[in-house]
Amino acid sequence: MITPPSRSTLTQVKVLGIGCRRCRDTYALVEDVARTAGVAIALERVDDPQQFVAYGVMRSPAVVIDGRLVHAGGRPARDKVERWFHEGPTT
Amino acid sequence: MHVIALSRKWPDTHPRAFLALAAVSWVALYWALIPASEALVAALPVDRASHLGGALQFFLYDTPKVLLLLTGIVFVMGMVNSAFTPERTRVLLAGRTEGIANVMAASLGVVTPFCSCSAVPLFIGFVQAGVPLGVTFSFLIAAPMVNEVALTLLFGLFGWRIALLYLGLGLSVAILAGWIVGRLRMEAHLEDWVRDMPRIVATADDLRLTLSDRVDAGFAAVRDIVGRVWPYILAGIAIGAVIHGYVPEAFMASIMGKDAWWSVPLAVVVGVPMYTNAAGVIPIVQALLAKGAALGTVLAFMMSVIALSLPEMVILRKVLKVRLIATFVGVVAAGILLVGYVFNAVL
Repeated sequence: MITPPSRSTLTQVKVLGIGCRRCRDTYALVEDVARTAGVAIALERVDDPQQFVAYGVMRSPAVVIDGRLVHAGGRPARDKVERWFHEGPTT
Repeated sequence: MHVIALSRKWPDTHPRAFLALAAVSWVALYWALIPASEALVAALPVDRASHLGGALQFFLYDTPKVLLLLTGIVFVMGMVNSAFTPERTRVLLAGRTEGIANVMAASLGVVTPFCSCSAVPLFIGFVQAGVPLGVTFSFLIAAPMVNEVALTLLFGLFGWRIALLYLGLGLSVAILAGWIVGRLRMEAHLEDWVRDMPRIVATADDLRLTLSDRVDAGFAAVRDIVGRVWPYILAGIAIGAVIHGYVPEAFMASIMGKDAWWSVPLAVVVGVPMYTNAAGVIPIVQALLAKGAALGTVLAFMMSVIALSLPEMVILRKVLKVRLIATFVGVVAAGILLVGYVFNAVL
């Protein structure tokens, strides 16, 4: 069972990518997995290259959860994304 | 779900056995392919000598062959590539002087997995770590142009000579064009915030990859690359099949032949705005060649489609000023033109 986080702990998820197919796929995947898991998230698309510098990312798409970089390069596998929301952003 | 979990598990626990079995099955399939596709065409109620017969034969024979080759090579390259992350490439290139570093950058561009959507973060990451601008460009030119997908398709449809030729020429264009951009000292034409970024010391995690990690990387590469390019291959081979079946012999000789001096620049001008990838363009190019187009013209067309793409220019505009983008396009296009003319003259 997943307890939906309260408003104050709403997970902030950023998908960093510059208008590519894989970035859109990743965004949709994260959205879908979070919805299926019943986790309320604030999902944001980021295409500002300065943000890449801020997170030290050299590959896109990249995923940042609550300020922590959890993925970079290519569309993540679904089970990887599921782990982010089931066990919290620990991977 | 359990079946998937199981089937993913045993290649992980017994990677050697998996690789041996996979190699044997792959070779067996490849051998069975030619008789199978010939039997299939023969069984169709179509005259083989007809336009439709010619087109169908091309399609039914080349599609499975190219897809099988691609799956095998992408898997192997996925295993190899897993050792070449952009972060490690950056460590290898940081602080080097131009010249030999351009050669290294272009070669690393071939083996480092790259998606044009990563062009900007990669560019920034290189500049930040002190990789010289020209060296960064050598990498950025080689990475999309010379890759396993392009080389596999060339090998499958043209043979190893043309594949090697393309590898050599692609690397040369990347090395030279990058070196020239470096000589032009265009650091002032980076976007201001890129130029003013604090420099960092590049580091990369020490990867300790086990064989089963590499097998995983191979699977991931097949899922990602073959899963993405197969529609382009089908479309490309279908268009190629129509050209094979319906365009009259030697038709292309008049517009893309050796004697038309303007055909090489035209091929480049037409090629740049075309947005497809190696997978889509190579089957078309093979059909054009069969109809009398000259090899140099065709190579120039192919390189300009793959190496210079309008969407990538738009993306690069976020970090480069217009003058640097224009210089980059101009230098690469000049290199491609040279390749086209030299080939038409020599062959």
